[in-house]
Amino acid sequence: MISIQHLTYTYPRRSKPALINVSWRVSDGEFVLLAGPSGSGKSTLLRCLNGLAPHFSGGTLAGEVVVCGHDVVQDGPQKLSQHVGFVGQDPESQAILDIVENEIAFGLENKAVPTTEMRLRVEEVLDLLDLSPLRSRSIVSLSGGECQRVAIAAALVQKPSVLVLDEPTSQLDPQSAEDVLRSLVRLNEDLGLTIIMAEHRLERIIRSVDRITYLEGGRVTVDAPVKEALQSIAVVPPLIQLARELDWRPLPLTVREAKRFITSDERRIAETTQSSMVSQLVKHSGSSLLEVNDLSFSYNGHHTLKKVNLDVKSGEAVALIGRNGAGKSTLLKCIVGLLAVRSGSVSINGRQTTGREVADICHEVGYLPQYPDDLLFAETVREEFETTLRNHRRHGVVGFEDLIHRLGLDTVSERYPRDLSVGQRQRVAIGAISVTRPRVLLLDEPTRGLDMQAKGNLVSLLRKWMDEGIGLLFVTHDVELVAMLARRTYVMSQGEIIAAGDTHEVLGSTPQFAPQITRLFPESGWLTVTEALTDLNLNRPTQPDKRMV
Amino acid sequence: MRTYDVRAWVVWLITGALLAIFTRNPFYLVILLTISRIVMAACASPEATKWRLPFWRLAGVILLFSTLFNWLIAHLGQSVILTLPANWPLVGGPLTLEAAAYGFLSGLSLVVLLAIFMTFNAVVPVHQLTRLVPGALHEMGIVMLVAVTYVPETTRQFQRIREAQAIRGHRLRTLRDWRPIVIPLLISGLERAMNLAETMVARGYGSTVQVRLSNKTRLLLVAGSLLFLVGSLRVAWQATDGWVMLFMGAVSIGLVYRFSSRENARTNYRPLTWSWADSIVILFAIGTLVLLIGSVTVIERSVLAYSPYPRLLLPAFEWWVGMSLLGLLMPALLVLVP
Repeated sequence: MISIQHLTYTYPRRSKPALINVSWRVSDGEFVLLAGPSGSGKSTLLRCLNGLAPHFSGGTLAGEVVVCGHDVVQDGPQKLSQHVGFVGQDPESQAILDIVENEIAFGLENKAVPTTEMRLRVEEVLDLLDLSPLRSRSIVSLSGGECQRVAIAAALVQKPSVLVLDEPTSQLDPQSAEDVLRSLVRLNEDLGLTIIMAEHRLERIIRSVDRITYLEGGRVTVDAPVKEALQSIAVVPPLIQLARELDWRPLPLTVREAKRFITSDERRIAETTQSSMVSQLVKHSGSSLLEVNDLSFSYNGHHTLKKVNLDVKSGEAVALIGRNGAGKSTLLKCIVGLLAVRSGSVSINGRQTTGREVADICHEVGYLPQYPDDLLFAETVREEFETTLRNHRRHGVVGFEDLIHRLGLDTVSERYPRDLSVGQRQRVAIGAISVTRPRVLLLDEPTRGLDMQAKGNLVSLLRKWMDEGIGLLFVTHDVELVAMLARRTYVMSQGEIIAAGDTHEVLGSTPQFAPQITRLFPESGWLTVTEALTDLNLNRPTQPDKRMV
Repeated sequence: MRTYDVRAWVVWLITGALLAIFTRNPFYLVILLTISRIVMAACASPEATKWRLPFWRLAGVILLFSTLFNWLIAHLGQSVILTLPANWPLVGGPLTLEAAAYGFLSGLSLVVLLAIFMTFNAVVPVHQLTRLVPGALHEMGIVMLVAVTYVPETTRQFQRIREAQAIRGHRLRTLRDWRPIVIPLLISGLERAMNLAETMVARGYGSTVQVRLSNKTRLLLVAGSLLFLVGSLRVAWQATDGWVMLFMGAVSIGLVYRFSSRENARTNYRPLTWSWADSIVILFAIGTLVLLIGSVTVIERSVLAYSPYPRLLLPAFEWWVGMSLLGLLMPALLVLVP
């Protein structure tokens, strides 16, 4: 189906190739996951499969790429569009037309496919992706997941034999991502469609794929069946991490499979021990930095927030979780004054925010919006920081060298911010909002689009700040992040706080939000691998540690 | 729910717009306004009505400005309300009731025009409009459609960037302050355009059907354009043969249109289908137009016109004119017929 021989590809005006001597094969009906840190060449490899690279992006390509018997370099993307369906990352920027049906039919209309055949083919893909209830909706009114399914349908309607997806779920909330993945699995199993997909978040997808190809620095470093590949990849989901530590073989991919490996000893420990980590996380309990009292907000007559109460203390991280549209982001915007609250009050460092300007409030609160790129406009990283200070009229302050260092941006401080990697861009944005040294930080979906490495860096940075007494409130869909960072968790639904309390209690008692480790040992109160391992090793009475052998 | 062919709506729009332009009689204008609002309420899909201009607010502003402007500038008419010193530029002189009334009526005519266009906008989805574009100009239609999806996305992005800059203490005061907003908007706009282009290429855009004109068509195009040019010059010199040339030029350009559309066949996911209701809508619209504007030649005065000058009098209302305007209500009436 796909055969790549010694592929080396360099983007125009770059000295270093994005792909180095890649040889790779995919056979008919396979579901292959392309993993690796961002910038490792995943997207480039995918674009080589339908000729977007080098035909659309330019650059030089050496080696041979043959897809469905077509030489990609010779035939180009237009011809290959019949064989390779391509779905990109951002659901919103992929829509060409306004209505779902028209969007799907677009490619066929262009090829002058006869109307009767076109109707049939559109009907077919609408059914395949469960889109028929949405057929006459406008694309703007769809959710991200629905948009992404429309994009898949638009690719499938051309009857390709390979479907190529570039991080299709990275911009979606877990529920929408689940829907998209389920559709893909069905396409693969029912139609035998060959699927190649790049993805960061492995936990949900590994049980459905056949093979993992891991890219690092433009080279294929691992290319093996799932279980084998997961043994050698550096950053893996918590469940796999634990299974590797405890030497469970063959590697379990789901919580159900993993449960079979739990020994009676381990079960006993999980049931009896009080997690030692709980007390560790509670060590800081400073003064209250942010208090929200009975806050209500309505938009177009809908009560988007109803009497919300919340507080953040110095040195602690508080997570805010809940479904899409529950009002989480709205709450953050109300706190910084971007939205005018209807009733209730917000006080920061003991001062009420009512009647104060956004700029004035944001002097004391750093707020990272969902799309950090919206902040970046200056020529250099350093200038971004200076701009914020100038906005706040604090020309004299020259204390941000230290901040640049702590954000790990020393080497890039004179670079153009938009040229940096996703993780670096996000850190620049965090710097730009925190250069006035606010004591409270509000983060909206801070791990969106980040790879595991960048996520790890972010977590350690935030932990350091918390140790210094900064209070953190973050909105996220990423329960593993909540487990790693937050002492307390609030759950929102339909504009109300429906649960609040210690993270261990909240996550432990709601299966929907429970991290993998909690699902594996429901009675234990463990949230992360570190917690589980510490307790298991401390309390294991007999035989020496397996890992030491 | 009954929907009409886009071509029927175009005829309806042209009729409505022409009537709105020629009418100054307030009774008829109000009837037209009511009709267009009823048609909008009856025929617009619920999704289209969500996104609308604030019509009544806009209408108020137009009426106010038009009335004030004419009242202050036009010093005609006999019923003087007050007199400003004559040496004041433009506004100096008598300010009359008639001038205000005339301004109000002109404003009302504009409001009716706006209402008719808004109705058209609400009842005809944009993607249907591009069906009117001939095959040879298919690309232009696509560009229009892409723009339609592009604009709302850009406004949303603008809002997001403004918020993002506000939270870092940015305030909009001088022109320079727009830089932090314009640059991200521009860059993300370009990025989105690149994404879109990539998607279009990946979906095989421009692959099999190519816009190509045959030599015959090209020759016709050149000849037609030349005929048109020379013809209009001749007409300007008052020569009768100029009209013949103009006509021939128009015919050959029409043929180019036809040939090029045939040479560049496209298919449509939902081909337009013509129903009896479309015919009725068109017939009634044309009927109304012929009756009201064509009547000028028979009774030698425009039944739609009305002038408040020199002294404001109650305008005449003729029943048959009012009734014929109801021809434009057809789309709303046919919705009731199963």
